[in-house]
Amino acid sequence: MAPVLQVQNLSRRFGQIVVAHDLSFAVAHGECLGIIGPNGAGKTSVFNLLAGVIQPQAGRILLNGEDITSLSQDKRTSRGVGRTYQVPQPFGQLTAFENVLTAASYGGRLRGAKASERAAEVLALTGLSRKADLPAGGLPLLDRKRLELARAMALSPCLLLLDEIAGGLTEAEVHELIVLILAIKPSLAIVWIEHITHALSAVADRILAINAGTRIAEGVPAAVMADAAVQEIYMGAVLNVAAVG
Amino acid sequence: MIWLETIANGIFLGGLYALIGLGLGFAFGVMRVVNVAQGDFIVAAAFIGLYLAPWVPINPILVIVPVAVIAFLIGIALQRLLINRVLGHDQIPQILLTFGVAIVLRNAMVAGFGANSQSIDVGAMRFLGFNLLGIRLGVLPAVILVIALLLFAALHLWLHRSRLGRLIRATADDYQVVQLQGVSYRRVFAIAMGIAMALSAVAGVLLAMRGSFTPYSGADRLLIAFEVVVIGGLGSFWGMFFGGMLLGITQLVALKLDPASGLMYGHIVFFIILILSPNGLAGAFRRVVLRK
Repeated sequence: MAPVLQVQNLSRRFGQIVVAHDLSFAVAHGECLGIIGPNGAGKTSVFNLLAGVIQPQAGRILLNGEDITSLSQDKRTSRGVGRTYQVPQPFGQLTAFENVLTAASYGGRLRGAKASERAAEVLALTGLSRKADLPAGGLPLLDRKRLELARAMALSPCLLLLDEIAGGLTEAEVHELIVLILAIKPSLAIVWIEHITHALSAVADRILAINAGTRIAEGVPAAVMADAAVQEIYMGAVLNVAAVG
Repeated sequence: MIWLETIANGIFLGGLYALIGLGLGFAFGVMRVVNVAQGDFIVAAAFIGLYLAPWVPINPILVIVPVAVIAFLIGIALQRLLINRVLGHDQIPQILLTFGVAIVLRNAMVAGFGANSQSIDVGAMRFLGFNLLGIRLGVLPAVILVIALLLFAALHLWLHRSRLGRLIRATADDYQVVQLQGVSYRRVFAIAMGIAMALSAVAGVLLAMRGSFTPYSGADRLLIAFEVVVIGGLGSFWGMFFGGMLLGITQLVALKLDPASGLMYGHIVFFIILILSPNGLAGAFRRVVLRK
């Protein structure tokens, strides 16, 4: 069976800034690929390439073996690419339920009662059932992150892109989120960008480390974390910041 | 008694003003697009209504149905062919574009229909009246108010209860994120502009039944629309309705007191509200009643 996501030799630069250089990776159904890298390494840009916000200058993106490189963001969503934002972007005037219902009825292509059922289902899955009728704009951060995830799940995606979903949460909240992501993982493929590496290591099957849009290392979490090049670039950058600060 | 009658007539007129503002306010609320051509499209709708009215069965007022359908299609075409091309962070290109459309449209109407004053004939209904609590009121203005109220209520319900309505509210919140629901916001924008134009067209036809219009009436219509939207509080639905009421009542009461310059007082009220509460009646309501 073809992997859900196949990225082949993806390249993109903005002037002198390289956000992706000859990147290739694949993610299978039921698998989670973590992406790490220092700030400005091109992680979010890689997501924007995968989601269709920006176009690559070279390379291809295949979803279930089908070339989606030139498809727009909304078409990719319709084909099963779900995405969460680093900073949650709920439709603030709509209730949590309406947020999820919109995703289920458009991206998820469900009608009437089926869309409502799916919406209720993902709200239950993400622990938001009791807050379903509250305006999404007023929810606290963890709930907005859950809602972000719920909205992506309502699409019944085959590929889920998580952008620093654990960022800004307390340790206990991060743990809750890990449990949740582990629960949904068997049903789809996940690409997860994260700075909180212990959270990533708990869920990811493999980790890809990038810097300046280029692959530094890839493998099981423990091996990547132990990699000398990763430690130098990733931790080195952190140490330098600490030294300057 | 004469004052009660004046205020009742102001409410009738205000309902129509609210409807004129609704199209502009709806387009702005969903897309942040200020359609400067809205006033001239309102006049164009009145011309379409003028020519279709004699062919409409049962009652000429039903001409609002075909005109609304035509305006809906024109709105979709306008958004898809023109406005969608200049979307971006900068609103100036949209304003210049719609301003240009307004000039072209106005001059086309002058060339095509002449500059004479026209009115849509609704037959005997124009002269019918009824007694309510001892005051004499016109049937046509009352019917127009009912139509305006129904349209406000229908739009409100549709936005909150229907699938597409929810999507439009979501788009108003964040059109970029709507793409993550598998929807092209450009398509939603086209539908929203169609609805805005249909609402404005109904207002234009009803206004042409109550009074008269020329190809140059667009600027006045646009001014009313702007005032209603701003008095209501940008994007506030029912704020717009009361904004229209306030304008209508002020105008007629002032005309009674000062027949020479009554229209000016509507603008003065607009100006005072702008100074006291820059975010309109809705903003004042939030501050005073909800204490936010």
